Formats: sequence, structure tokens, C-alpha cells
Amino acid sequence: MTEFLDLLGALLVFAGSIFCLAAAVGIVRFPDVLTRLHAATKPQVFGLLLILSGVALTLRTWHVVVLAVFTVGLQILTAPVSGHMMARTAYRTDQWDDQHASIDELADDLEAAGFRNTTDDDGGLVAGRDHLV
Amino acid sequence: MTEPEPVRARRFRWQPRQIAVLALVWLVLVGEVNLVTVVGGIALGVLVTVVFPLPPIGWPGRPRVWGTLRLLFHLVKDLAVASVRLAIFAFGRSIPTPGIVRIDLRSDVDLYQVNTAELVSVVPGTIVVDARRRSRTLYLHVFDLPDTDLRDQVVHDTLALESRVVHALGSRAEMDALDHPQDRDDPEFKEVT
Repeated sequence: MTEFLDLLGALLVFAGSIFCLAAAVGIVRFPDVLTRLHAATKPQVFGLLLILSGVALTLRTWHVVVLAVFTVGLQILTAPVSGHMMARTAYRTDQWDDQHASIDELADDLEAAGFRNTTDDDGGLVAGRDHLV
Repeated sequence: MTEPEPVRARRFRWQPRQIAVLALVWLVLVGEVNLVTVVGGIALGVLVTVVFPLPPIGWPGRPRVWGTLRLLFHLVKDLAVASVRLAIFAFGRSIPTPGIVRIDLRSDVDLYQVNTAELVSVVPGTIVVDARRRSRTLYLHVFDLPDTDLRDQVVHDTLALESRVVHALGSRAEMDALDHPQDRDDPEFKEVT
């Protein structure tokens, strides 16, 4: 039984590290801030979840289990918050790749509300209302 | 972008539950239970609630065990699916076609909107770019949306997630309202670009 748990734990740690690697590769390879944020939030959190499950299965003490649950829970709660703040800033400063985007309903609504979110040719921001109610 | 909170946070409010949870977290972090760590945990809890006062969250429902378990199950499943998809993209050659989609939530409570926004960032392929409180709208950046028909799928998934959040936290009346939408069937389905 202990061998089985050790093996399972090792496999989980391995799988988790693959996902963390995928997150890192994604951050390097994806084209713009917003797509990179996807890589930074999801596979990273899932990789950590797998690694901590593996560690908990290997060490098998209650303290480690509770600590792992806390860590994963806080990751799931905090990663989207920082991701959202980055995404919002990136969008408002036009740091995202809208050439390849299929639809952008936020731009439509922002325009209707009087906010222009376009850059001029030099990449500088065109003056607009800087916040939206 | 939200209007100022009508309920103001009172700095020196006594919050026994929050302090207890914070003390518990402290005990887990320290890893041993004795008089010093318990008293220290409570002291830290008081300190945190005084230094970072938060407005009370009012909502008409209550936490539900079964709904929460279902929410967590779907959360882990979605996280796995999202991670596998992103890993394939990370190692693969294809370039994603992003899109930004507007979602009008059906529930009207801060807590549900926040939780939906949090969890939707974990659901396959979406990140919250912007959120509006007054109209309960979320704007999601979808990682790969090559076909605008997939937009309906994103809307559907997000509303299903919202429904799970309400089932985990909401009141009976709110659940029924979400389960049986009688008068309107999601107006946003009509205005596909």
C-alpha cells in the first residue's frame, strides 16, 4: 500500500511539473499579454494542485494535507484576481493583439459609452475618457 | 468603476468568525497547537481584521454543502480540461484566435458575480477582462474563438457556472429563478454579431 501511494504521489508530482512547464512555455510562446495570462493562470494552478496532491500522498501527514489544501485554495482565489487586474490594464492600454481577434464586444460597449480605446500609429494612446462608470 | 459601497466598513468591529478562521490558518501554517500559537493566532486575526477592514457581504442565501461539492467537482474538472488544452497550445504550432465576449449574468448579487468571475477564469479558455457592477456584466477574453458561433457556447458555459455558484450559495427562490427562466430566454442569444 505504501509503495502504491508513493508511486501515485511521484506520478502526480511528475504530471504537475509537466503542466508547470507547459505554463512556462505558453508564457514565452503566446502572442500577447492576454493569451499569456491564460497560460499563467490555468496550467500553473493545475500543476501546483497536482504537485501538492502528490506531496500529500507521499508524506501522508494531516498537517501536510491541510497545508496543501490551503495553498491550492488560496491559489485558486488569488490567481484570477491578479490575472484580471493584468488583463484589464492590458486591455485599457491596448496592449493586446486585436488584429487576430474574432470579436470584441467590450470595444463596442466602451465606444457606446464614449470611451475610445485605440492607439495611433506610434502606439501612443489616443486621449479618451480614462475611466468608465 | 463601481459606485461607493453603501455599507461602510467599520474598522473596530468585532468579527469572531473571521478571527477564528484566521487563527485556524495561522495554526496550520505554524503546524503545532499550544497556548502560544493559539493566542498568537487570535491576536493576528484581530490585527488583520483591524488593519484590513472589509465591508460586510450581504446576500440572501446561505452556503450549501451539496451545491458547494458540485461546484468544487466541476472546478477541478474544468481546471484539468483548461490546462490540457492550454498545454496542447503551448507545445503545438497553431496560433490562437482570441475574442472578447460580453456575458450578462442573471443573478443580481455582488457575491455571486465575484465568485462567478473568479471561477470563470479557471474554466476552459476564459479570463475576465472587465466587469460592471450595475448591469452585472462580465467581459471575458476567450483564448481561442476561431468561430463566432462558439460564442454561444461560452455564454452557455458561463451561465451554467453562475447557476452552480448560486446553487452553492443562493437561496431557494434564486435557484428556482435560474432553473426555470419563464418570461425571457436569454436576450443575448439574439444579438450575436
